[in-house]
Amino acid sequence: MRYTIHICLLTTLMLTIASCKKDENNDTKTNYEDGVSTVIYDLAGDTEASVADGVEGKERRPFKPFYFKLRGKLQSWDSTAANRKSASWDIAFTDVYNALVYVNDGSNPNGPGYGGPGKGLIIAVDSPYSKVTTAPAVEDMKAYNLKFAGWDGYPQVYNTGWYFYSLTTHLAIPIKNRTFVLMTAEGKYAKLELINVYQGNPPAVTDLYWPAPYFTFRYYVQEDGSRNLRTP
Amino acid sequence: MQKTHLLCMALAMFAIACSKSDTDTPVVNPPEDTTKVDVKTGVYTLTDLAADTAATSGAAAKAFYYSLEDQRTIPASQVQTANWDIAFTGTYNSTILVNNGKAKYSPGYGGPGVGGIYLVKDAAIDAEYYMGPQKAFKTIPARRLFDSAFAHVKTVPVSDDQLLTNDGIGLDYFGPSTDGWAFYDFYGLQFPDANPDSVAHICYSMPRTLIIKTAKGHYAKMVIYSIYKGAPELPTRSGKPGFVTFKYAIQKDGSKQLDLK
Repeated sequence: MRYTIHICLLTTLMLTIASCKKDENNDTKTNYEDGVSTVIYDLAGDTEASVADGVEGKERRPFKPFYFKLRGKLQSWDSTAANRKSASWDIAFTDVYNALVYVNDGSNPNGPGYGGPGKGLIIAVDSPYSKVTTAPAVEDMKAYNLKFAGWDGYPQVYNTGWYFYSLTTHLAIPIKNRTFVLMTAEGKYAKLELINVYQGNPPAVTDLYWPAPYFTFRYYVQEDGSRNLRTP
Repeated sequence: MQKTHLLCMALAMFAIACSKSDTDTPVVNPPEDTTKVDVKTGVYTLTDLAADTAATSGAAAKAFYYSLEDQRTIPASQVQTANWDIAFTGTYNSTILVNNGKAKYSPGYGGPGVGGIYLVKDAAIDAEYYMGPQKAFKTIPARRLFDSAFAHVKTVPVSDDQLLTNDGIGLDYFGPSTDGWAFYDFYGLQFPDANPDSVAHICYSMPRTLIIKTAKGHYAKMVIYSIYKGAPELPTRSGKPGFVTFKYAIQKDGSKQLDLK
């Protein structure tokens, strides 16, 4: 009887592994590196703010936003108007878990770059990062501009995001094979894959206390001004 | 032994089911409500309408479709008919969507609905409690403010092309959302000195009137008093969400006259 249960559990476990395998992120650190893209591992966000009650060492307050310049990998916590309204950053990581990512768009009254020179645009493509080889024409980028990428389907049905989130579990689950095509603050095309918000980029997090937010993401900026986003 | 096998099968089936997308949620239709109410032009208050009573603050409360014209819940199977006017969706069923067959992101897309929605902001009422986006209220808005906000709206203040059809109206400046009818206090900002366990993650209704154009084209206005069972004026963490209490007025003559008693 006991053995039966053990065999049963073992079989179940194997079935689970087999059936879930294709949904899992099999990427390892090494194969995010394609030789031309920039891969950022575990970039710390505002790790002192908390999404839930009573998490030790964390404060109950809104997350402080940070700003990131793709070229040069520069992170800034300077939320002054002078910095926000400048082309010194391309994407801002804001709100809960710092996971609401805005592009630097001077024309978006709800974005952090409002009133500045930023030319930022962002669209989503449901395709793996390496398969996104050309950016759409600028008219299409403008027509489908999401302005931000965060919680998928929020606040409106058409707000395509990069993770699923539940206010019950407070877990942010990244959406696989979704790539964002951007225009940087200076108007260069880029592609971006937001990979994880949890430290160490674990394949699946079930623990609310897993250290967060620590961002893993990769991107490629086409510096020659063309729409070519081909990466190996 | 028999039981072990059953358990084993169940576990194995669960494991196999795991290969499907985790985002697929089963569509459960509530039993059809067949009571007929002859809803005439007038003002109505509905208490504790059960939306998704199994909802926690999780993002995926089941959509709940309601007919202001007939005062009854409508099963999801009739989503592409003009039988429903408002859908309560999203977190705590807090996002209100309308039935518009031409709007790609309306649940009624492809159907005959001609609905729309618009949020009325009343500066005088806001001044009584509102301190700005993502900030705690000056004070929890009293019921009389809801009634005043509702009474102040005597007609549809905008033309039809300003009614929203693809967008829902829900939480006020929660993350990337804009003007809404409820304050979701994620951090417990309203009561900073209290134990966060008891005051974070509460959804406070706001005295803001929603204009609704029904699926059949009649105009209505509504205020939502509460999404908690029993509609407490001061909701707490122990309150049971998923029960909507609201007041609405509907004008059945096709005009925009909403100064109704």
